[in-house]
This record gives sequence, C-alpha cells and structure tokens, in this order.
Amino acid sequence: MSDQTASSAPRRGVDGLVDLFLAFMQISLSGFGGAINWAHRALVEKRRWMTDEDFTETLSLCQFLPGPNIVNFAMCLGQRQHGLAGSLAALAGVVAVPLLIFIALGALYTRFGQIGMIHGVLSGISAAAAGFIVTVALRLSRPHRQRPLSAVFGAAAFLGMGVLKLPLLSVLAVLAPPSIALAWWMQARQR
Amino acid sequence: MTQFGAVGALSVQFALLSLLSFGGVNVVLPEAHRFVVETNHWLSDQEFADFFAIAQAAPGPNFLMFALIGWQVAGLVGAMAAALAIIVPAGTLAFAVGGLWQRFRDAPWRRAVQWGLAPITLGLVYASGFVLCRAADHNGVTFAITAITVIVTLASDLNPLWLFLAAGVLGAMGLT
Repeated sequence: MSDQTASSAPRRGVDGLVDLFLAFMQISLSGFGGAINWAHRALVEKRRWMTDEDFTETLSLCQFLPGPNIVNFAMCLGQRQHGLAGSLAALAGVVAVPLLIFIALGALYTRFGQIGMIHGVLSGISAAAAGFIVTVALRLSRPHRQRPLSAVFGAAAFLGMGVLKLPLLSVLAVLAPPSIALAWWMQARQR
Repeated sequence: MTQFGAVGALSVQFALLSLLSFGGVNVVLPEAHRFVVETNHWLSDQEFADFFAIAQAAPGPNFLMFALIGWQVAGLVGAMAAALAIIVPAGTLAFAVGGLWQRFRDAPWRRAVQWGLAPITLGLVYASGFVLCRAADHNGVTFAITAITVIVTLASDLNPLWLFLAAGVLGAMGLT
C-alpha cells in the first residue's frame, strides 16, 4: 500500500489483534446514533491507521454492502491488517462487551420492565426514540430532492412495508429491479 | 412452537434481514416488527418500541436491538443466536468483498445499484419511523413527545439523549 507515509503501521502479531479489539470496543461503546464519527476519531485522528481518504473509501464500501456499518467496517479493516484473525478480533471488539451489556439490560427489562414507574420511563423514552428515527429519515431525504422519479419507489416501499405490511423480500423483488434500471438509465443519459 | 423451534425460526429470519439491510438495520425494522410482533406474537408493540429505545440509549451499537428481541424470545440462547444471525451473513460478505472494492468501486453497475436502492431504503426508514410511532404513541403525551423530538432534533444539533432523558422524566412522573 502506498499510504504508509501518512498513516502509521499497525503492530504485528497478537499485539496487533489486541489493538484492533480495543479500538473497535471503544468505538462500539462510545457515541450515540451511529458509531461512524467515533470511528473516524479513533482510527484516523488518534491511531492513524487510516488516511482520511482511506476512511471515506472504506466507509462507502461498508454503506454499500448490507448489514450494520460498524460490523462491515471491522471486518474490512481487520482483514487488511491481520487477515481473518484481524477481522475476528475487530468484530469481537464491536460485539463482546456491548452484547453483555445488552443481555444485562434484557434481564433487567424482564424483571422490572412492566413495573409502574419503569414502564412509564420506557414509554416516554420510546416515544422520543420513535421521533428520532423520523428525523433520521427526514435528514436522509435531503439529497433525494432532485430526483422526483425515484421518490415514487421510496413511496412504494413505505406503503408496502409500513402500511400494507408486505414481506420485505417481495417488496424488494418488485421495486429494486425497476429502480436500479431507472438509475442506470439516468446515469447513461448523463454521460 | 417449541423454544428450540423459535430460536431456529428467529435465526433464519434475522440472517435474511442481515443480507437485506442495505443502509443499516434501521431499514429492516418494519420487517422485524412484522415477523416478531404480528406473525409470531413474541413481543407486544410496546416491547418492540421499548427495545428500540433501549438500543438507542444504551452504550453499544443499535443493531443489538435484535439481541434484546432474541432475549425476550428465548433468554440467553436467543440473545446470542439473534446477535450472530444479524452479524455473520453480512460480516462474511464484507470479509469476502472487502478486497475487491477497488475493482468495482467505479463500475457503472455499482453506482446504478447504489442509486437504485437508495430511495427504496429511504422509504423503508420512513416505514420504520411509522411503525415505531404507532407502537410508541398511545396517547396525547407520547404523541407530543415524538413530535417535539422531531422538531428539536431537526432544528438543532442537541444530543438526542437529552430529549430521551426529559421524556424519561415525564414517564417517571406518570404522564406517559
């Protein structure tokens, strides 16, 4: 790789695996609403494992592929540094400790979730969290304003899943091919 | 369904969602809701909304909401199985494709796929919002909390955790 000058090389062997585990554990545990800002801080600014360009590049791959972005990111960077062992170490960093926390929260929920005050607190927070995802959707809509045609597919997906409650696989099977064909056609027209 | 059968069905379904979650897990929440609340009645609407809220507020990635669902269905085994199911298929794909990105990054088909899927995944995030609002907003106060959260988070960079805190206080006072 030619970016060795701008970024510093990761440590070799077991030390490197421990570094990956710890870096991704820190990213996974910190931050709210997407770990990506924290990933940039930890991997580019602090540890200098990646250049800015490298980071953007890897992120766009991870957003292109299905699955949680942070999992994809851990798999890609881990692999680049230490192969399969690196991927697994980074993935363990993402999952291990948070999963223990979530299991503990699940156990507390089972025990106390339906009790008066706790039930009220959760009911309040879930109303706020539902509002937050509406904001996420509204923010994501901004780049789509210029594409009224593709909005038809978005509206159809909303109706199919949100209102009609159709299976996701069928919704995608019907909508994705024509939507991709439209994108292909618009792209060809621009060239 | 036996508990073993439930864990199996849940794992298969979540593994499929893992491969369909273009744009992250927020896209597959309506399908998860359909499967665990409406089809199988493993969770109530309110429990689904609660788990989403806990996953947003707790330290750790949001996709672990699926582990909470697994916990509710089958305890520890369910939580582990659900987490693995949502992680392993997509993670394996990322591992396999990671090294090839340079080769197809600028390919026209790659951009067409991305631009073609983008409006659909956006529609699905709206569907997630709709499903969660319907699950969480059962009276005037909860509806107002949702509306105020949307307005404040759109208009400012305030960390949403403050709004969660305020909403939790209203809930503790018995207003929700």
